[in-house]
Amino acid sequence: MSEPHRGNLQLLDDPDFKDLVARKNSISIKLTIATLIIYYGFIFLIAFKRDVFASKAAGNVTFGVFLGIGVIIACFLLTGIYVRWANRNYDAMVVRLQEKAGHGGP
Amino acid sequence: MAGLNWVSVLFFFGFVGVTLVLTYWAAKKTKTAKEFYAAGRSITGFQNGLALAGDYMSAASFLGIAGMVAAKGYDGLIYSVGFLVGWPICMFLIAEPLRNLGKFTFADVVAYRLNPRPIRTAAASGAIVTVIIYLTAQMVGAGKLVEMLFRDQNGHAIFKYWHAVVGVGALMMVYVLFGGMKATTWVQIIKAVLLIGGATVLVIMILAKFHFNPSALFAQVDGKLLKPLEKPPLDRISLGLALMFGTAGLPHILMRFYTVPDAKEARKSVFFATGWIGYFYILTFTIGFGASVLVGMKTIGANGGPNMAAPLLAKELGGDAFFGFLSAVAFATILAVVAGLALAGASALSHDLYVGVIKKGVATEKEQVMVARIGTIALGVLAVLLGIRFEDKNVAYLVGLAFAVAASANFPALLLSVVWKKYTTAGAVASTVVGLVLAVGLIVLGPDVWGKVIAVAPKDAPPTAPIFPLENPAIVSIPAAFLAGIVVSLFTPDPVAQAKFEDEKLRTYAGLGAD
Repeated sequence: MSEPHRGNLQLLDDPDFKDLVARKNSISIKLTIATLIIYYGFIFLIAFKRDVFASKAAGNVTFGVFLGIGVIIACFLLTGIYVRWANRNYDAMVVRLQEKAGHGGP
Repeated sequence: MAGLNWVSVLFFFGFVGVTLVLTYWAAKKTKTAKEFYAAGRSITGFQNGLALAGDYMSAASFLGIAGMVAAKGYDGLIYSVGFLVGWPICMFLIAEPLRNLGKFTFADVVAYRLNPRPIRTAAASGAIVTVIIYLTAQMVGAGKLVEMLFRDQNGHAIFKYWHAVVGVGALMMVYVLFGGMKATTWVQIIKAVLLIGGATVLVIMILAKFHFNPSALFAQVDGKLLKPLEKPPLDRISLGLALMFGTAGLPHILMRFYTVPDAKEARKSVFFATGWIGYFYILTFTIGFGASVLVGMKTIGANGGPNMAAPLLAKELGGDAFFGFLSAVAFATILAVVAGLALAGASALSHDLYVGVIKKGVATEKEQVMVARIGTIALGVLAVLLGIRFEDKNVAYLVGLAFAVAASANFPALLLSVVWKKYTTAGAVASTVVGLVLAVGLIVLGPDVWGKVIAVAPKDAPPTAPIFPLENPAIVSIPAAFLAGIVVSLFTPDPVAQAKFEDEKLRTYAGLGAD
């Protein structure tokens, strides 16, 4: 396992690196909380409001079916939001740092 | 053998033939440890997305969830949603740091700045226990499936239970021993495409019956099936926790992130996997509701039970040929998942325990690959024996147990090592051990094992009350594992590990020095 290059340790104090860590943590935490709220909203509804699920929402398709499909689609969209953010912002910040470190980027 | 379904046999041997050719091709490119464990890091994000989906969509999630929806209705749908929510969590918290910090196993990440020998011993134990539980469930599933699917005109099984168990064990060993991760990955990809394709065709056939109007389908679904069953809220919440955090602790899933070249591809692969798996689960519960209307629980019950709901629906709508195709795909699914599990177990045995602990990190490439192959054989034989031993046991709780162990023993240790500076060796070991012991112990003391397997009440007596009331231990074992990790770390401060955390950050966030 190659150790991180000692010569790069000054990068730890680089404002670009601090910014990268802060922004990556911030979006990860926000999206994790969003996932938890959506899923546990669903679970608490199941645990305490069972009757909602059997009520009809569109034609004979019940509210519960839409809710289930909705949580699945929401999960997919949340991962999509993260990938979009990372492709647009995170990767560019990483390349800049790797250039500073003399790696030239991947 | 007049009743043997030749389409099924043909498809099955076609699948085995193609995968063996693939294995032969992959074997030529599988010499070094990096090639054996991680396919030379040559898999793209899109391919890995499909392979992750292949690893995740076991027979339990296809036949099991379709059957559960047909028999119990909405509760089956709750499972499928729970299995999916683990993926965004895996993406936001684990995927990129794991890829940046590790080499072949998740223990690499936990051991990065801590004392490698105790850490690898603990983490590999968590990984191996998870793999063995999951393997046993798959093996029993394979045996039962083959017994039910391949019957002659009189309804007698053509293949015996143990034929299937030994067959799956032997074929899986060929894939893993010779083709390593490269062959295993392509087996997963082919199987994922077949399974998603087959399920899509089946859903189109269902909807065609109702003139492509879902409302007409749901008009005929029994109203009872559309409402969640009444269960203690704590049981619901506990199972939800296990499913949500289990995914990010499953060794065979985590290992896949090392097959791609960098963190960017790792992230892409979770996005694709989430899409494929989510789509697949929507198909699966549609199949379940379709089976409850078009086949009916009476027929399903008389022909092998809920697990046969999807194949019976295929027979109803597409005749023997489509039934044969879907049966072969279901069997291929088990085979592929078993191969992925065996490889993950072998990597924990060889890379973590043999190289990391016994050889203190010094071993030649040849030695590493040889030990991994021996590990594969050992796990294969063990899986066959466990599969035969547990033939008549109810194994439904085994998959829940595997998720509970992954979520309690593996996930907290991994997450804390990535995010917390003051984490120490003793803390990491404590977290893994507490999570592992509580997850396994509380399941043994719980309603699925205690009252039904250990303290079985005499016939006329009331059933023995379980010592632990919940079916799933996650609501206790996950917080306990985090707490143990945090408290023990605070009592054993480690300034060296704290200093290394700063180094580690460059690699975690910017991939500087990543393998």
